[in-house]
Amino acid sequence: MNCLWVTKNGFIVAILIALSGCSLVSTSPYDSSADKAITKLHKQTAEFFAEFTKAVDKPECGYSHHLPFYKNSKVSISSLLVRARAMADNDITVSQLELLSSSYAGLAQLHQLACLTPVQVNELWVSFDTSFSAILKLELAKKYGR
Amino acid sequence: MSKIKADLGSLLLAEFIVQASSNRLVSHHKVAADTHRLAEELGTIDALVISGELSEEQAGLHRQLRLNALKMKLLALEGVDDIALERALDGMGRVIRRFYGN
Repeated sequence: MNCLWVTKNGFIVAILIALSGCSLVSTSPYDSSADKAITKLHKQTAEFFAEFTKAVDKPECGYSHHLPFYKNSKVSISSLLVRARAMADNDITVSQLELLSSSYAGLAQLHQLACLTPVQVNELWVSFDTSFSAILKLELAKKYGR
Repeated sequence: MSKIKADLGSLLLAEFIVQASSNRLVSHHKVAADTHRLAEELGTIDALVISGELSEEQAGLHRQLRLNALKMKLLALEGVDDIALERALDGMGRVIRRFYGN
């Protein structure tokens, strides 16, 4: 096997791959439903943090007063995960959503320990904004290609 | 034959440069910046523990959330790089198809 043979056959293989339209890398197409659902969940979460800053040190700051938020978030994440897992070549988005689900579980655990302080709310808000930005960044890259 | 290969090679290189300049094929510099930011954020959480604002249990959960956020960012960078590479390969494929008149 000499250098010329490798060059010639490598060249033919490259042409065959290109002509057949195959891609060595493949990602799932943009999903507008997922985009909307993620944006809606982000809005709900931001509203929760915004309202919480007013409820600090009040009796309604406890976990039990915010059960609807935790329930709705859990349902939304579950729906997003089912949809994401059903799509081919969507492993990265699935991993991101699994991490987001774990973050909501962590938020609930924190809230069960005690009412969230303003400092904690700020920390959490930044964490969740970063997480949602990352998920939307990938989803929009599927749409716009970067 | 060598002239054809040289022409095709030039076209592929030109297409690759166009794709690489429009789509960022690698984002390693961002990974380093994000990791550095995480280190600072973990330092802030430690400071809150020292000042008594957070218990160790609460701090552990905050650290976990920060780590999750960073992992999501890194996954996004990986996904965006994959998409950019996919577009570059598609672009080069189009060049080959055009070259051979398909």
